Amino acid sequence: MILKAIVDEIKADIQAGVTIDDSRLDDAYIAAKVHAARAIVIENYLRTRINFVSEACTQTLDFRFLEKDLDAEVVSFDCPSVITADISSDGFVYVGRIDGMKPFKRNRLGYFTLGQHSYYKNSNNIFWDFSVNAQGYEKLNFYKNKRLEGARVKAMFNNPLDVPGFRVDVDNYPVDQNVKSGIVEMVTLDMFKKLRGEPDRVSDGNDKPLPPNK
Amino acid sequence: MTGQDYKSILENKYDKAYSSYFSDTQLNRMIKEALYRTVDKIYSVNDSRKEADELYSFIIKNEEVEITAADRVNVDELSETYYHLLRMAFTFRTPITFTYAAGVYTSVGHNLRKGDIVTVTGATDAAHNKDYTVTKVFGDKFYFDLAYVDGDISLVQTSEASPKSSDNKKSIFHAGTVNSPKYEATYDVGYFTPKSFILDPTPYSILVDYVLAPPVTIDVADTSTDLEKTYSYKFLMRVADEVVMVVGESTRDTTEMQIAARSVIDNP
Repeated sequence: MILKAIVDEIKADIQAGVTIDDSRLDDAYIAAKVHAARAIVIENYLRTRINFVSEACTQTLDFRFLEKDLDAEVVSFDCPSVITADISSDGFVYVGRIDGMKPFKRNRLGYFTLGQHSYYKNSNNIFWDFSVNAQGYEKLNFYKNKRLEGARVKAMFNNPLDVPGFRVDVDNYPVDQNVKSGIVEMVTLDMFKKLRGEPDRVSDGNDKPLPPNK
Repeated sequence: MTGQDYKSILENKYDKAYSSYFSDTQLNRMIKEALYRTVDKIYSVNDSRKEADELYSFIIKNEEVEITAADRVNVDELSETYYHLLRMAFTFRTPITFTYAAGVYTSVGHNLRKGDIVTVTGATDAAHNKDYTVTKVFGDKFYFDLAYVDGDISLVQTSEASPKSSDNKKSIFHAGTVNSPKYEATYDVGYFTPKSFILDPTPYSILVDYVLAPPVTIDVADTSTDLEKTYSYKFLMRVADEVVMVVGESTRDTTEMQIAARSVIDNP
């Protein structure tokens, strides 16, 4: 099911089952709420189902679309942020060799411990972590192999549209039917509350609907 | 039914005693007013089933217009006289950079999917210049049913568009995108319908459904044009009821207006 199908389902629910495009709500507005609702539903699943979430909710990052940076033996690629439940549960499902057979070790200790700990110094594994750099770019960093050209990353991203190569008009939105029904219900209820309020249609510099006595 | 036959029906409806009260010119003027009012009333109700029955001869569907101006389409580029917009869709063509060898098209980092439509343009062999369906995608390779010789290839995408309103323009959610494009009507002095539609983002072409202005004028002196070849009988009767309403307004005859209103309820 593509994103537009979910957005249209929400709009049809709000319009009592009629699928006409006569709404004051922009599709991009509803889509933003769908992304947020998806993150909340999946985060709840991560907490309550001991990190098990359907494969349908994951996306694979295609390294053909990514620029490789090399700085002081750290190889970095752009990577959108993932859904996070707590310090040990987040949306990364697999980060490892491109054939999917060898996951890399995740570094959760912080840079200053890496070079000191014997586990890191003596290990032949590739380590990785996720961070936001000084320019505000979200990066996947790989340590201990500066010749690394690519890896396979499978994750549940905060905004599926941020994943390079994702075609919003034809690719399935990364949810299963369970998550989708949770999203539709959450957003529809939110919309009903919002639609009770009158929009401010009068351009008079004031945040209120029609002025009195008009 | 000719215009003169229609005049007889009208005279029976609004009262024969008044039949010589209106000249043909006055009657034609009232009919024109009633005709446009009826089209607007049916259009504004927005009942799709009624639209198909009542305004069928007024509706153009899926007319394709290639965009030649920078960011807009002029209304006079449409094949008929535009009156009301029903729907607009944008068709985009995104060029693809590729190489070809032995039946395999290769494009690093392409975004194609199986089932996508690609179009070939500018090929020396004119038979190659048409749309194709991508049959297989694997990594950087994609396939469709053409032994490539020359020409340009573009991905074809069509998206339904929504109207853009001035007050909403500052919102990022209201901006036009390839997947959610927007159109905006612009007017010109002296025009009562849009002169052009500004398109955001600018597509290759648009598909438009629209209501056209009444295609055939009803002339009560005409004895040759068959009105029922353009308008349904029911619609002509509906317009006649609207004419009676106009007659009642012009003669300040409230009884006439009430009778007409009752007729409209019986024949909506």
